[in-house]
Amino acid sequence: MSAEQRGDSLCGLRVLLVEDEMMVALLLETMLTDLGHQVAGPVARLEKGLEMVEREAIDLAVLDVNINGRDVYPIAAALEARGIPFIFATGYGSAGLHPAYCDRPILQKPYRSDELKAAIGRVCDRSRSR
Amino acid sequence: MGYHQRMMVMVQDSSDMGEETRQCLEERIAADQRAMTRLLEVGHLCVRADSRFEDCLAGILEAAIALTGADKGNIQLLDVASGSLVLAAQRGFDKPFLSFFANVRPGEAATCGAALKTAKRIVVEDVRQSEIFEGQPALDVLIEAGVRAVYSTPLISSAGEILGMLSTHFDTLHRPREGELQLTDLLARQAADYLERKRAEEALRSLATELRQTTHTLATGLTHCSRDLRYVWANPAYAELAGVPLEHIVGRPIVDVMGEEAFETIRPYIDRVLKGERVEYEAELPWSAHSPNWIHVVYAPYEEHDASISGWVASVTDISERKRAEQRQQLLLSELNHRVKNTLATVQSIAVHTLTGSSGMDSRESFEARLIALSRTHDLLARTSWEGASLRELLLQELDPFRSADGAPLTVEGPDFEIWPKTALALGLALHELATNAAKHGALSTVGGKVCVTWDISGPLEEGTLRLKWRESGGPPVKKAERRGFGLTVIERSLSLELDGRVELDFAPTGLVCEMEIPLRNAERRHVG
Repeated sequence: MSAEQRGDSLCGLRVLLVEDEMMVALLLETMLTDLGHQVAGPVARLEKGLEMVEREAIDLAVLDVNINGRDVYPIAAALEARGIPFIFATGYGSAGLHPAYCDRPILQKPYRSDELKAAIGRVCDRSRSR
Repeated sequence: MGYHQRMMVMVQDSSDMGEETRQCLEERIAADQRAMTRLLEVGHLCVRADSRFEDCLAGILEAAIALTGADKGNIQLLDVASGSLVLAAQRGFDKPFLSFFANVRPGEAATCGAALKTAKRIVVEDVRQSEIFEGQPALDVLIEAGVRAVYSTPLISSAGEILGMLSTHFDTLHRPREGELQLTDLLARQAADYLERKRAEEALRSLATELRQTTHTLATGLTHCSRDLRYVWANPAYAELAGVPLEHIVGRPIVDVMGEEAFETIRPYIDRVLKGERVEYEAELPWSAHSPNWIHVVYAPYEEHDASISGWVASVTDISERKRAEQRQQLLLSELNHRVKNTLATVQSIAVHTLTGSSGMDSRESFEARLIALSRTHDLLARTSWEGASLRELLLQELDPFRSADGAPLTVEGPDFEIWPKTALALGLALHELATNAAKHGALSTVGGKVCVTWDISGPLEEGTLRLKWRESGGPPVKKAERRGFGLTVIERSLSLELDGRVELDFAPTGLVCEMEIPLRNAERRHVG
């Protein structure tokens, strides 16, 4: 993790966005920028996302569960393998999530900026305590 | 006094009688023996499985005539529906008699009618002297037929119901001899037993037929299984469910018919029904003969007379279709929820971006216009149940409001395509931003301005590229935007993110030119009919 800050002071993270709906991606980008983070992406395709996980320096990822009809889980697995924390953002709610990931933080669309901030705080704490 | 007792008395009495009497007695004994033989023969005829009903009735009637020394006779059966006696067998009568006495109601002027009414034997020694026939046309019919005496014996079931009537007719005056009526009673008993058995057999047969008809036409699978886990019986609907011919089910172990896996699935329910419990369940059964299907099952214990449970009866209905519909509905609901949530997030995004940095009426109008553009694309997609949208219709829909407003010339040219819902939503917003910009600052803001939208496809249909060009001309001189507004961002993003394509914006002094390149992946485009 490139940022050492915690909780409210947490900022300056490089966040990968995986989201296939342009307007939603745009909103998330704005929110993250307003929270003081940098945005990597957004990407709307699985292959592109995997490529970015592999090549780019990323501190955190926000993943839409379904991107263009495909499950985002391969990207989640790649992030997990590298110890990079991630948050799911979905319109399906936790019931639509694969059981293997059901204890991961979820943002239920639509969500507010402070919910996003809290979720980022949680996953960063969690990954640090490991 | 019974027949055998009477014989004993006669034999004891024979010790001190004269030769003539003795001879007479011997004849009587011989006659009785013939009568007993006759009764036995009739008995045998009636119990034989291959005997025809008419032959048995004729045999009984022949025996009655022989035993009573009558000249004629008939047997009638009671028609339960009408309550009258109907001729079933006769000997010695001609048409006038047969048609006159074809149906006899209780109490009607006939010996059998009187016997039917009283449920007792009626003996008429002389028809001319009988009260029954006094002044009755029936008397003339009898005399015409040569009948002088008659007696009718009701055939009564073990439950006391009258089943029919046995009548013997005499050409001369007749008073029943000693023993004659007892013999007739024996014969009548035999005849009644025979009729009762036939009636029970008939009832059983019609019940079996009814059961067979019902179970064979039933769409529900029915089966009876025994405690040793074999099929006792099954109907065709069950055989169809199992995917195994009916003749390969009956008598075989359940596990052999449905397979190990399916049998293990139902095993816990079998254990319960064999304990006497009624069981109802739904399960997806992996039959060995075909692919799994969902079934609704009811088990009822099969109780014997001693209340022991010898097996169970199962009714099985295929509910695969219903289950599929339920799953489809569940999927649709979840999909709908997802779509609504995504749409709300989109609206949230539009609101955040429209309302930040601008103020007042301007931002409110922009917000409304963007929502309406989004909503129109939804309308277009709703028409195809969210399968896709025609590119041409999408363009016309976004541009039409501007065309009708001031009659500005618009050209829309290119082969029509159906595009993915997600592509349509993004492109719809991008086109809205282009059109709005043109109406505010570009070619659509002045008289004489023109917008020309053309597109084509390069390369093979499957992996070609859609090239769409938006070209404005005749408007005011173009100045490059100082600030990257929301509209511009949307235009660029819609293509680079969602469509995986490229977009180039050229702020040429003669008019804005926007060129888009969208790779046509297999799944993302379909030809419009």
